[in-house]
Amino acid sequence: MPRWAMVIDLRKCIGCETCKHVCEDMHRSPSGGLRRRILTSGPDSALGSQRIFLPIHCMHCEKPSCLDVCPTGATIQLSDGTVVVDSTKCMGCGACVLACPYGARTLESQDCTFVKSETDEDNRGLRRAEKIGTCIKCDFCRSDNDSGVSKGMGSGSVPKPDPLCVKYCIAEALYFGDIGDPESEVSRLLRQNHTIRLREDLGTQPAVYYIADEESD
Amino acid sequence: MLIDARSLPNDEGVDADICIIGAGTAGLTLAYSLIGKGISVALLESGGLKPDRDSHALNWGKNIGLPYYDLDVARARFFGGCCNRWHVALGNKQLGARIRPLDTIDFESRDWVPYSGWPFDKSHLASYYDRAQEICRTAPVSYDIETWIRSKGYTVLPLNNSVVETIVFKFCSKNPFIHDYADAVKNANEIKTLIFANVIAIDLDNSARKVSGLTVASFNGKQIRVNARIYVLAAGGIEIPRLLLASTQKMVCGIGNQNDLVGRFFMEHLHFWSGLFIPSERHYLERMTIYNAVQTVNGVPIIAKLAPSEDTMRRNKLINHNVQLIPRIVPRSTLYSFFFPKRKSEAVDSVWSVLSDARHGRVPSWDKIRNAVSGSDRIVRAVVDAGCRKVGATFDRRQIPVYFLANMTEQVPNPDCRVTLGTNRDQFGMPRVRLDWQVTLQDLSNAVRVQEVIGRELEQAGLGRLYIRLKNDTVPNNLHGGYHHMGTTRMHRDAKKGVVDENSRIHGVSNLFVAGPSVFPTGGHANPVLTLIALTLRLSDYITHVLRSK
Repeated sequence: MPRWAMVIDLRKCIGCETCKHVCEDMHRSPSGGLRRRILTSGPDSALGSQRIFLPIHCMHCEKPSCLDVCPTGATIQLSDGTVVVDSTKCMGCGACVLACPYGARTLESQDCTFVKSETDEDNRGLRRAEKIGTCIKCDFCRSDNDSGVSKGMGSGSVPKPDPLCVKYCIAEALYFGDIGDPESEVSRLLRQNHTIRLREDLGTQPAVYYIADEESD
Repeated sequence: MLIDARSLPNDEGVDADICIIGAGTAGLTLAYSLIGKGISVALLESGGLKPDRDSHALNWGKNIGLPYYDLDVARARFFGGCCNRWHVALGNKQLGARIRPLDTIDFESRDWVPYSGWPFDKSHLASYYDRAQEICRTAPVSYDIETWIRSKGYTVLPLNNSVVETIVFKFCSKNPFIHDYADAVKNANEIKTLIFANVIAIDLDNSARKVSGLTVASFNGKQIRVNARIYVLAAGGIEIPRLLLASTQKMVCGIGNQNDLVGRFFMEHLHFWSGLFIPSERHYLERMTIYNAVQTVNGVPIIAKLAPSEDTMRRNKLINHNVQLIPRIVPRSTLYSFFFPKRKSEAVDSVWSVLSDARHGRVPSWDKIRNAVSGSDRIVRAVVDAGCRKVGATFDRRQIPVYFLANMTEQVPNPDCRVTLGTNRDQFGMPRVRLDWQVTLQDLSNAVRVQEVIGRELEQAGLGRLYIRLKNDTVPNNLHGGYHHMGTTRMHRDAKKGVVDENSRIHGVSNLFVAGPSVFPTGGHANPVLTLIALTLRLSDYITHVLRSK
């Protein structure tokens, strides 16, 4: 069973937000809900230094804070490490939103997709109004992932069962794969580079790693 | 032929018939159009084949007007330019951008739009628009809505077309540009594509009427010289004025800036969500799928929008504007903010201020008390509205389908909306830019009036009611641009009124041209891509003719 993880190379990210736009467009996220944010930090570039752009989404933690606070069991951690929300069980209490230290969850205020588009991927265009008020967050594009894995795709396969953000990143700054496979690209990147995870002090053990220059820490 | 400029020897000279500065959509299109014509080309790109932070940091500048995108992320400084960033989902896992030609009225000199008017009308560009659509692979070329809906049996809203019409936007995939055309240009023997090649000086000859060469620098400190018979600036609507204004060796005011026009008239397309349409019959608009989402017809992704007709714009002196109907299902309680809006007033502010003073043990001023008392009617109204919002939010749990209006509008050309040079410099010593993005009262009031026109037509057709939240003098709080940088080297036959002439040549400099939307005198409401490709193809024909005639 794979253990999915993502590696984001901050040395390459240029803050173009293509990953965020693709995620919103293809998941038909309503304007009130975000699966992905890009934060900027670092010194003012006018002074000659470079800015850092930090993509943030669900970290799919090994020990997620959101899991225990969910009163209905809607938040589930799958055996491959992906943390997902069963919207049929979610009652929109927002406890998980408060519990997440990464600000990776929001409650869906509107349902944008009662019209089917011929360009919808995997019929995501059809969603029911019952999902208003439930929690949305990144799920590593689970349906694409499962579809790819069921076809025998995995780390090292071409094409790979990558989330949309990874597929469409124009800077090729995002990597996705099985961290349990020592031969996978993500495992190799972790061995060869200095990486950090956000808020490691909290013990959540995120599955999203950032490659950064040591001075950028 | 692909060359990394960093690998060339210092002071190397590169010669070509045509030098194109910038390998974005315009530069790539121009280079591609010159393949096989027996013309040698030097195509200079500041960045590499993939984006890198060093190159993008060169884009950094200051926004000194309305909030705008940070300038280092507002553009794509690598081979292919902004077409790499087209991100609208088109199906079949493709991404692309909207394309539509400018309307006939956009080319006209309109007495209610200051500084409007192109040197030619739309019919002059007709054949180039057709060729541009071949480049974009969006044939058939027609934008007539009937052409597109007939084959699939779509229907359009029963509106009075002479007042408000349904218009078509097509979508062009980025794949032909970033793969097919990019590969063709890189592999063409007659094109030297130099990456990591930053133009730091445009040198004029002693007459100051002809470019004698370019100084090009790389991050490793090397400099080379590029010499051509014709030079084309294709670096985008912010970088082009930057280069011109910074080239002051022979012209203190900057190249082409003898009439203080370079960098002025920056135009964007105003994007904002405002306006709530509640359909009278819940499922009616669900059948109008052509408006609600991207649909593929004859292999081309399209979407329909609403816009005032040209006749309506002329009669009511409106600028161009389109709206997309965005379907949503919302709790009815969210509509109470429309029915009972928060009303800002000095009286209400004074009440809050008095209460705050009391809470903190301060004596409120007599002015605040007087404002509160004299505005008691407004205070009562505000309390009633707040109560209704609260009651609605608590007890009204129904969900209803609504349509938000996603607006995209033209900007009136404004000379004070401009790109200038700042005092900070990049690592090549080039001054960084400052962008002062402004909107005018005419931009804002036009948006309100267009929504009123559309709302009236929707109501008269029995389709429902449009609630308008825009105010004539208030910038919408979600206003943003579309990354469309237009107008900063505007086109006009008269050198006192434009930076380039009708052939996109810089006034006063015989061998320097501009490709891209910076030459647009007006921006219309359509994305600039199709028009910039059409103009670039026109420029390609012109400079080919110039070279061959010499």
